[in-house]
Amino acid sequence: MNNEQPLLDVRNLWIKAQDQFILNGLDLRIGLGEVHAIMGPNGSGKSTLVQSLAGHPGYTIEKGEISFDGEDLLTLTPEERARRGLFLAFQYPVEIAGLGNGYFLKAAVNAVREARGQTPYDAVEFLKVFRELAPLVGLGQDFLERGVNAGFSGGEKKRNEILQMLLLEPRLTLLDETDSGLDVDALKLVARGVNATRSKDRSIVLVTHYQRLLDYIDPDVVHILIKGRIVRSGTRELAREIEREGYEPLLTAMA
Amino acid sequence: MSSPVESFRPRALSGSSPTRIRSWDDARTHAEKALEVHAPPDRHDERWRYTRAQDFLPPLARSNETTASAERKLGTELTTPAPSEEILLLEDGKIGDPEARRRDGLRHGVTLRTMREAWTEDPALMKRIVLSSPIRDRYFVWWNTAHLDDGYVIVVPRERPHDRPLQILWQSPNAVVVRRLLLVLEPGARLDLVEGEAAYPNQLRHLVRDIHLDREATLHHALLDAPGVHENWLWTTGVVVDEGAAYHALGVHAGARKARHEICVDLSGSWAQATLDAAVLLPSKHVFDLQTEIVHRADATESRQRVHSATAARATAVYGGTIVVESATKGVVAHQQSRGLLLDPASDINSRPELHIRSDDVLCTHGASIGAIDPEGLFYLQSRGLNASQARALLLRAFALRVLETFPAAASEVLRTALAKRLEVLVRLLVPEVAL
Repeated sequence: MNNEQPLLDVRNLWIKAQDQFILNGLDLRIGLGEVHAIMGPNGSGKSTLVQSLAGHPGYTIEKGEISFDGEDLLTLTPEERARRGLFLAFQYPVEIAGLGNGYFLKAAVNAVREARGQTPYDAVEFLKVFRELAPLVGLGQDFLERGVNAGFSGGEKKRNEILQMLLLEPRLTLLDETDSGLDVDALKLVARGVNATRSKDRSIVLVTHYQRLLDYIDPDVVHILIKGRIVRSGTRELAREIEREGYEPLLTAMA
Repeated sequence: MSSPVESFRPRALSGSSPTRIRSWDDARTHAEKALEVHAPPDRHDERWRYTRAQDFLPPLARSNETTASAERKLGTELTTPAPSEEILLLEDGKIGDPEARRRDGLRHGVTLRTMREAWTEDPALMKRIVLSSPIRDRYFVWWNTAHLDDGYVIVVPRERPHDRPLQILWQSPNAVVVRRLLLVLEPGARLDLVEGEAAYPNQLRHLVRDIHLDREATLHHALLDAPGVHENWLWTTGVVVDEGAAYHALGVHAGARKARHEICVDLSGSWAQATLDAAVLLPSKHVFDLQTEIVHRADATESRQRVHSATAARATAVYGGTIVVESATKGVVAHQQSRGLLLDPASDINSRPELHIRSDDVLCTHGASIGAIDPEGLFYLQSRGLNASQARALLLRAFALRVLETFPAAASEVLRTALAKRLEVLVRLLVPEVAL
């Protein structure tokens, strides 16, 4: 990690849901342009972490600080976080039948563009941008007419998330188990979309169970999250070690 | 125990059987006698728990008054007609535009007559409609007949081109308005009808429709009411669907101080179909009571009902959906679904399915759900940069538009546009009222 101020700085984060602590004093720093992978067994708090960062109202922040680009993230609403450049790709994208994808995507992109002082797209401009980006994740124009995630296959939902990421141009992307439920072809498409957004100005956090995704998206740092805390950090070799040995040795060491 | 169908159709009046009706005067006399014998429905009837008959019974002295303020509200803009299309303006007791009969939408053999004219010129047709109407023995249909100045009879032949919707706008500034429409589609005819009412403050409006679809005829029917918190209105619609014919209706409703629509559909011929869909979007304090009844009288008849209701503070939406499958019918399919979205905790949605299945060879489903805006959907949209108000608006819009999405694709673009436009208007009206 470079020595400049990190894009995301999480310090001593304690989070509760339904009267139980899920995160127990978690620390995490993500530098600009870095790609971090967070791995961990079921129930370790991975999704809680990224959903809380996006502002999900179902979690209570009991203690700790989160700074995003020097600003206190905890004082911001979910939409303010999105407008400042934080994007969460959902593990289970919500289905909204009746709301056309095209209508939704244009409304979202323009909400973010307006907040950033950019001119909103008109219909023609939006379609032009869509046509440039959608092929990256293997989606065609017919997709604009369909309801948001309604009746989508698992792969289509995940590709829709990545398309939204490409359209919204976030500075920090949080991918919550985006690889789950994907076959290898869909995984490659998703990875292609993610890699297309990699730059020195953008950071990515990959939450995953498996090393497989890291074959296609090369992380700078790998963290292991167990029982609400990051217990080890390392290089991609750490992910391979987990793949070989599982989490059991770490859990045993913690016991 | 009497069936709901029978309970809607009391015994024939002694000495005043509808079979003896041969003229306009006979029809009125029959209705007046019926009103003397029968009391208005009361709350012992489950269908009248949320709106009362008294809500729709005015002092007759008011009937010729105009409303204090004739400022027209929503409802006059059905859609923007293309140059070759037109809106047929019907005012009470007369056809609003004297040129209407010669207009394009009514050419190609379509006839438009007043009921008095039709009783004189084609009594056989009128008698057929009266005798087969599934709503002929309802209190407010008698009331309508007894108080009506005149109504309209439209007959659509097969030759009329399909691609030209007919648009009807009802309007009158009178304090009490009594309307009647008889619509007949001859064998093989097809019509897309967009029908709306203009609303005036403090009005009481009655509209009775009798629709007869002969063999293989198809009617797509957009029903648009106009939101008005200070009005009461009652629609009663009876539809007879003959063999192979199809009736597809979609109502977009904003309700009123008290608003009620009763629709009774008789699927009387084999392979007859009916779709009764509605998007009910009620602003604060509005009431809308939708009572449907679909009677499957023949083999292989199919029906589907889908009602989506959303209510702002102190609004009340009611849906009573009755399905009757008569004995000895085979291969009947009937689906009913009701979804309610409470936009404010201080609002009411009541849903009451009633299924009377008297045959074994039936596929019948029903489902009802009522809830608030999905917090996960809200968070999803907010996480994409939309503020809470924008997100709620999109979710409400999606909820309403789903009804339009599943409406038969064969409906014309003009009809779909009219429905979509009205839905958008009502969503915009409701969004500021959605509780945070």
